[in-house]
Amino acid sequence: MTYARRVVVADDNREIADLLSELIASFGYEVRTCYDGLQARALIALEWPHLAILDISMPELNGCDLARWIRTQDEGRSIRLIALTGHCGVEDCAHMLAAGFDEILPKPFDMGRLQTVLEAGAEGERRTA
Amino acid sequence: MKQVFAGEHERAVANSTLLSVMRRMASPLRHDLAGAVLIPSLRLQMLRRQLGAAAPDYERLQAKVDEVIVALDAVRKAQIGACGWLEQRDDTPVPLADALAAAMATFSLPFSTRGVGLENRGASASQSLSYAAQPLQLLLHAGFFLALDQAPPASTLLVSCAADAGGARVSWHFEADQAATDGARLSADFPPEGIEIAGERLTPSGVAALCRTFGARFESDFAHAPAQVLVLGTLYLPALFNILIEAPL
Repeated sequence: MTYARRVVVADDNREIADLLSELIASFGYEVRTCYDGLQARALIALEWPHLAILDISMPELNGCDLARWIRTQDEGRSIRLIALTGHCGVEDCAHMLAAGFDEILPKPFDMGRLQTVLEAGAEGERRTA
Repeated sequence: MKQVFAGEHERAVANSTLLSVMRRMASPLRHDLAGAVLIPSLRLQMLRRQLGAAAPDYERLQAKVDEVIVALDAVRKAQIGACGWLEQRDDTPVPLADALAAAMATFSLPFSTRGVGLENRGASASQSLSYAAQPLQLLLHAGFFLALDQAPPASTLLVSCAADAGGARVSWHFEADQAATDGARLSADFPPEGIEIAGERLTPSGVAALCRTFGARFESDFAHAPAQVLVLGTLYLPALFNILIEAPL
């Protein structure tokens, strides 16, 4: 099942950002791709997507700081925020959730996990619609 | 330079600190490896979807396979890098300034997630000094982990570096964020409330013991800190520093 939903993907590793965006788009989502935290913040503020998949380690503005900023915005409270990260220690995860992320997508992830994350975002959107 | 131990206790403290640093480096090493592995994984997923298309473009598919091969080579390099860190046997000389910049890049995220800024001051002074890569990184990481464990909230960690004929000094100190403190002095009570530190927390005496193991010196000094500044410690690296490659275990 696919949904034409807006998704923002942000990762300073361009290869990962582009591949992940291409993959998500192939499921029928409308994807915007960013390569740093500041760019992602500007785009999110412009489009307010339903789901944002944010890398944690980004220069200038990292994923946690970006998540904190998003949660302070009225429109940002309902966005489903997914942390994309290779830092998966207990303490790391606790900080990400405390920053406002709904879920953590550990690198590397399998396709089933990605689809679950996307469908959960779409499901949440249907409930709030 | 030979390893000098004051006694078995000091040796145990140094070993314990070394183990803590090695264990805690697992997260950044895992991050590097995970990012490298994710790329061929995504490429293969895309390839799989394209193979399922009604009329696959074989030339394009071949190009995709080549991209996977290149990505796997990057995985191999990341794996070699991670294993090199664990083995601690890379004695290639690296400029202190470069090693410091790399360490700061590694630690920018964990400090940021705690709301603590990170600033490099005066690293250019250390450009001319080079040390054996892995032991130097180990001692710098020990200093950063110690700072991470003791970071007061609403502060910035300032890292400064100075060099002269006698060697180099890397200092870590916290400066209170102006708006947050309103003139108050930073507290030396660690860790700050609300921050749970895992069982691997480092101590100044542990870092000092580890540094002595490698012929360096680490001193923690709170006495001369002005208001709004909390001195964490200084790593002294002698000019004729010849860090032993042997791990003390």
